[in-house]
Amino acid sequence: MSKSERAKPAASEASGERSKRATTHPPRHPNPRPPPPSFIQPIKEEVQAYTFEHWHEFVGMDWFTPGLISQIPDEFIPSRNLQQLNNAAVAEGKKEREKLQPTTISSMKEIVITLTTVDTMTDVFMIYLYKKNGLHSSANAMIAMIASNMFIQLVVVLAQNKKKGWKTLLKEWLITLLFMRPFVDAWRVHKKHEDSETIINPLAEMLANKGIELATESIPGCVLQCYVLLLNPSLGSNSGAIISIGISAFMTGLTSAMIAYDFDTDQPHRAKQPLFYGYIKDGRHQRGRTFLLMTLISTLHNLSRSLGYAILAVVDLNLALKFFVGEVGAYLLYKLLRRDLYYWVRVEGMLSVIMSLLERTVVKVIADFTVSGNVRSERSALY
Amino acid sequence: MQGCIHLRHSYELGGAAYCASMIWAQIMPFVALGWYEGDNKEQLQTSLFICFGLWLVLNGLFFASIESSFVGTFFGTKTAPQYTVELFRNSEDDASKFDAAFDNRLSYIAECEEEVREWLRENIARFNLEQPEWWKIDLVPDEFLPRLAIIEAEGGARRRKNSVHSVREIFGIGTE
Repeated sequence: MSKSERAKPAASEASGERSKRATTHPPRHPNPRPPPPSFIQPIKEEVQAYTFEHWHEFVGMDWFTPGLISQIPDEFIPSRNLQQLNNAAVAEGKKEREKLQPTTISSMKEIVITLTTVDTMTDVFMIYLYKKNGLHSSANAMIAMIASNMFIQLVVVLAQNKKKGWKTLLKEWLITLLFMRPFVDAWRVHKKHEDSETIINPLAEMLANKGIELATESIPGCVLQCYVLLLNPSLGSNSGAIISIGISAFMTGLTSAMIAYDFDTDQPHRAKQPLFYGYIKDGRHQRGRTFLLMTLISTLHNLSRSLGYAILAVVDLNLALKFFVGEVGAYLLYKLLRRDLYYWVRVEGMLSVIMSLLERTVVKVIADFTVSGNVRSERSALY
Repeated sequence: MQGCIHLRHSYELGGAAYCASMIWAQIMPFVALGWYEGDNKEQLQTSLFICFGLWLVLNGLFFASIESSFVGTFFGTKTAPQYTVELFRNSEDDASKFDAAFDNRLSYIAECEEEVREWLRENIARFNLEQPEWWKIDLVPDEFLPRLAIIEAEGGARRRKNSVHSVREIFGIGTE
C-alpha cells in the first residue's frame, strides 16, 4: 500500500474533527503552500464549504497573495470570485487567471523533450570523432541523417506556416537551421502559445518534430554508431563513443516513455477510451515507478535492437536490408490479411493507400526501436 | 515488454503485432550473432544476454506495477475497425460516440453504420440545439444525416464538408 493510500483512512477519520473546526474563523497565517489537491480529496466538500464561506474575509489579508490564489484549484473558489479573477486576467490580455499546476512528469514534458536534444550534441561529437579517425564515410552518413531530419522539419515548418508571410517563414526556418527548434517548441508549449494561423498546436508541433528527429536521426544514428564501433573496436578506447550510444538509447527510451505515459494519464483519453487507457496506476509514487520502468525497458530494447541490426550490417549490409524488408513486409501482410491496412485518417483514394502504407511502415519501425512519434492525441489539430 | 507502449493501440500496430514485434526484437540480435565471426563475439553475446535478462526482469516489474485489467491490451487481436465499432457501442456519452464514428476513417464503422444513423436520427435535433463543442456537423457525411437536417439546417449538398482530400491541400499548394 502506498504512502498516500495509507494516509487516506487517517484523513477520513480526522475529517469529522476538522469539519467541526472548519466553520467560522479562518486562520490568521495559514500554510502559505497549500497541500496538493489530492491530499484534500477525502474532505473536499468541507474545504469547499470553508473557502466559499470565508473567501470574502481572505481577500485583503496579507497572506492571501496572488501567488497563493494561483495554487487554489478553480473548484475551491466561489464562482463569482472565480469569474472576477478570470475577468481581471482577460483584461490584462491573458486567457484566464494564473494557475500554478502541480509538477508532474507530464507537466515536465517540455523539459524532458528538450533534454533529449543532448542526443544531437553527442551526434555532432561523433561526427568529429569519426573525422578525426579518418572514418569519413561514417561521418558523412551521420551528417546525412542530421540533414534529413533538418529537411523534413523544414517541410513541416512550411506546412505549419503556410498561411503566414515569408518573413515569418524565414524566421521559423532559421530557428530550425540553427538547431533552436526544440527550445523554441518547448518554450511555446510552456507558455501555452496560441496561434490561429498555424495548422497544429505547439504541443503537437513539438511532438511531431521530436518524432521526426527520432525517426531520422536517433534510431539510425544509434545503429550506425554500434556498426562503426563493431567495425572499429579501437574507437571503444574513447569512452565518448560508448557514452554516445548509451545517451542515444536512453534519450530515445525517455521520449518513448514520456509520450506513452502522457497518453495514458491524460484524463480525456481515459474518459473516452476507458478500456485502453489507464494501465498506469494512480498515485505519484506508483506513476513515477512505472515511468522509470518504461524508460529503462525502452532503453534496453533500443540497445538490443540497434546492436542486432549493427551486427547484421557488419556480417552483410544486404542481409540487414533483407531483414528490414522482411520484417516490415510481414507486418504489412498481416495487416492486409486482417483487412486492417488503412490508417484511421479520413483521406480517400490513392492518397489513403500511400498514406496508410507510409504510416504503417513508420510506426512499425518506430515501435521496433522503441520510439514513439505518435501524436494521435493531438490529431484534431494535426490532421 | 515495451516499445512505445502506446503503439499497441488497435489504430497503430495492435496488441498482438506489437507483442510479436517486441519479442522478435529480443530474439533477432541473437539470430544475427549466429552469423557474426568477429573476435568479440563472446563479449557481444554476454552483453546481449545481460540486456535480455534485464529486459525480462524489468518487464516483470512493469506488469506487476500496472493495473492488471489492462494486461490484455498488450496482447489483443482487435483490428482498428473492430475497436472503433466497440468504442461506439460501449461509449456512454455522445462526445465519445461522435469521436468514434466520425473522427476516424468511415470504413471503420461499416459494421455499425445503421446504428450510427439511428443514433444521429434520434439526437441530431438536440445536438443542433445545444451545439456542444464536439458537434462538428461538417464531419458527418450526407448519407448519415436525416434529409431534413441537410436541407434545412446545413444548406443541402453545398454544405461545407471537412476532410483532407489531397497532398496539395495538406501543404496549401495550388488553388483553394
